[in-house]
Amino acid sequence: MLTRLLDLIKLGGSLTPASLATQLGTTPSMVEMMLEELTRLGLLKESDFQNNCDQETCGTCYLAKSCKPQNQRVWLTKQKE
Amino acid sequence: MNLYREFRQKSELNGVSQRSLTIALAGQPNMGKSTIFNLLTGLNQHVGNWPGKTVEKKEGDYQHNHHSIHLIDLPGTYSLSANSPEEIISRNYILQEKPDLVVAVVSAANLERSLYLVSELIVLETPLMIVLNMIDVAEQEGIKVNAKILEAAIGVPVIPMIASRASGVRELLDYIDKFIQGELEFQPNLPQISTDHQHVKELIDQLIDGFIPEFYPKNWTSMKLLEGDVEIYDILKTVLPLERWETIDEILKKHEDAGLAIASGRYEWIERNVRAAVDRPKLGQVGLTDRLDRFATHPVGGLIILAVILGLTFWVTFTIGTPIQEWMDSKILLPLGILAESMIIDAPPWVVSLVVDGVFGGMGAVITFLPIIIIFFAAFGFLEDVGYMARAAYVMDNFMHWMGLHGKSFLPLFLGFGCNVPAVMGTRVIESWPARILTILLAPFVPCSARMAVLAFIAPAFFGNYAVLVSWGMILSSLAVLLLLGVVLNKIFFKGERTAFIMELPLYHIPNWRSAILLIWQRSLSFLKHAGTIILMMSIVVWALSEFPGGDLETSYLAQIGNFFTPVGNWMGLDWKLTVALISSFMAKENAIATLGVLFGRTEELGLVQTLSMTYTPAVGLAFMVVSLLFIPCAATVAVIKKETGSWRWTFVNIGLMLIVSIAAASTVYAIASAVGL
Repeated sequence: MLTRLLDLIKLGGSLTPASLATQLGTTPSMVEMMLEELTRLGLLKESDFQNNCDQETCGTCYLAKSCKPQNQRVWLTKQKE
Repeated sequence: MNLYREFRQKSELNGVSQRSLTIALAGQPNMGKSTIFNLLTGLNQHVGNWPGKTVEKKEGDYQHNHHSIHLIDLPGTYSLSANSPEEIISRNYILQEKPDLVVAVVSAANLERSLYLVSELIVLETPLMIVLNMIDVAEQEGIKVNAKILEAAIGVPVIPMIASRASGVRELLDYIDKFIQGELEFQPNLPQISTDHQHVKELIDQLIDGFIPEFYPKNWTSMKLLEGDVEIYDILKTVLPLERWETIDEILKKHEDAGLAIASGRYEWIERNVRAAVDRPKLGQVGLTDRLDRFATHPVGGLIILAVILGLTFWVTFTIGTPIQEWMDSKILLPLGILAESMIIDAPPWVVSLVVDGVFGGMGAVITFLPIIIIFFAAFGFLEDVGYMARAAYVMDNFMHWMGLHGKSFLPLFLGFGCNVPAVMGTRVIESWPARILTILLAPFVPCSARMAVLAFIAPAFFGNYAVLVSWGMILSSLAVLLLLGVVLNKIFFKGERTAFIMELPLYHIPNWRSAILLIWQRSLSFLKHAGTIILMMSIVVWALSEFPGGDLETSYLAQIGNFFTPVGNWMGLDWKLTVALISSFMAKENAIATLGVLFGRTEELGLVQTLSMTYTPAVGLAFMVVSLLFIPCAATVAVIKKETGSWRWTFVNIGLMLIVSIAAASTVYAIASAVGL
């Protein structure tokens, strides 16, 4: 199942756990778990965009305190080394 | 293999009295494990630490039907890998201390996730029972888990429970009684490594057979070895004969993907069991989200919806925000300026000028932004809260993929619509240095919220009822420029490589109005603070430069600076005043308005917007908006570009690139707009 998911991801494109779940015939929650597993295995990486906004890095931006960019998790394929 | 029969045999062999046994409670965090522990042990429990660790160890005892049961609450863990002290403690306890029974607590509301730990516990060859907790929560979410079917599918007893209401505890105790009496005859169905790697596992099984420590089950040990478990690897390296170990090591190196095969087997196992036992009707919120997403994430329909929402945001801003902004300008700021002037009429002329032109003209002009900013905050906050912004990112990425832009470049760029600083930082996801540099160079081209606010301030002055269309068109045009540059980036640096971008889409939900209002309030206060500090400071600097050396604006230092750059400004139709306004936006984009406020001051009847519309032609206004949208990044963005690239060279390349593009675009727009008579 995990390998089937990986094959789908390798095809590229914009995906969501829900769209992947439909293709695999499972639930989005299951796909999210598998995405986490693939991240642990070093085949995907989870972005940490939510950490990009803070007082220190955002200088004088008045939105810094209340800024919350992309609270959703985003996974990206890792470049082959 | 009948684990329970084996347990009885082992118990007899080890001399364990059936009247006294040890049960370990295992489970992921927040599954209600501690609640069950407390229900069973009551006050008869004590807390310490696991030997050599700072992890809490809870033990307790209870009596039931003449049996004395010692209960161990294992640390909450998501798996039994050797990734954390909690995981090592849990698995080593089960393997080495051999409790008589392990009770795994799982959540019916989140069964897939809970079963992952069970898929690891079940191969430890220790008697196992499953407590299916939170069935009430699952039912509230429309999920029905059939415990009997789950029991048949997994092959171990499954006891439904609502621990928070102490419901199902008696049934658990009855099952434990049956277990002690040897009345349970279940056959555990174990997860299997995927078929393409089964021969590898069999080979490892043969090689380790007879050499592994007594308490490690062979099946589990070979799986952990293939998974790359560091602890098991080190132990086997020590206990196996060198030649045998070298063979194993070679196999492991050759089959580095075996970890994927094992994990895949676990997920097949979870999927099989969940599919058998869970009934998940699509109702309510989930169904609504699915239905809405058919439109919102449609490759074409989603883009149209996004464009309409963007247009609507500008429409609302201009329909509500702009009239309030103009009212504030003419009915509050102007009278306040006049009042202040009358109060300090006897002060030296430069003090009067400082207060009226510098403070009220500069900072005041920016404060009148507030209604526009509030509408922006409210609109984007609302879209974020209902869950739409994630869909916007998704459909944009879909489109960008279709056009050939690399997914890793897109997401950081999308962040730039809020602020360019996180956009530049977001490029960290890109491994390729050249691609990352180019994405950093592109990020400041994204119109950030401050630039959009400046646009929203100026557009109505020149385009009245058409301001919505002009602003909307400009944002879409800047996206087109970005897309074009991005496609070139992909062709050159990513060589057309296809990558995936997987985004979690939250459920749509009704926004929490209280927190939305609180957020707007916080942001408005922050904006006023920003205006009262940075903008005020810059306004005073601009005022000072416009006042000195002789008090005449046309011969001031500011005019000299502006006139120095005017030859370039003239290409875009900008006089020296608009040129210095543009330059001052380097510190913060809103400074462009503050500078115009200082330079144009106010007549008794007109606010800044009207003054601008009477001073310049729409062609000039359009060119000024274009150059403002594409002009060099603000100081904070420049600082973060320097930090992320670690190079002044790339920082200046970015500034140079944006200067060239912005001046070229604005000059072209000015020439065309003038030619068509604007």
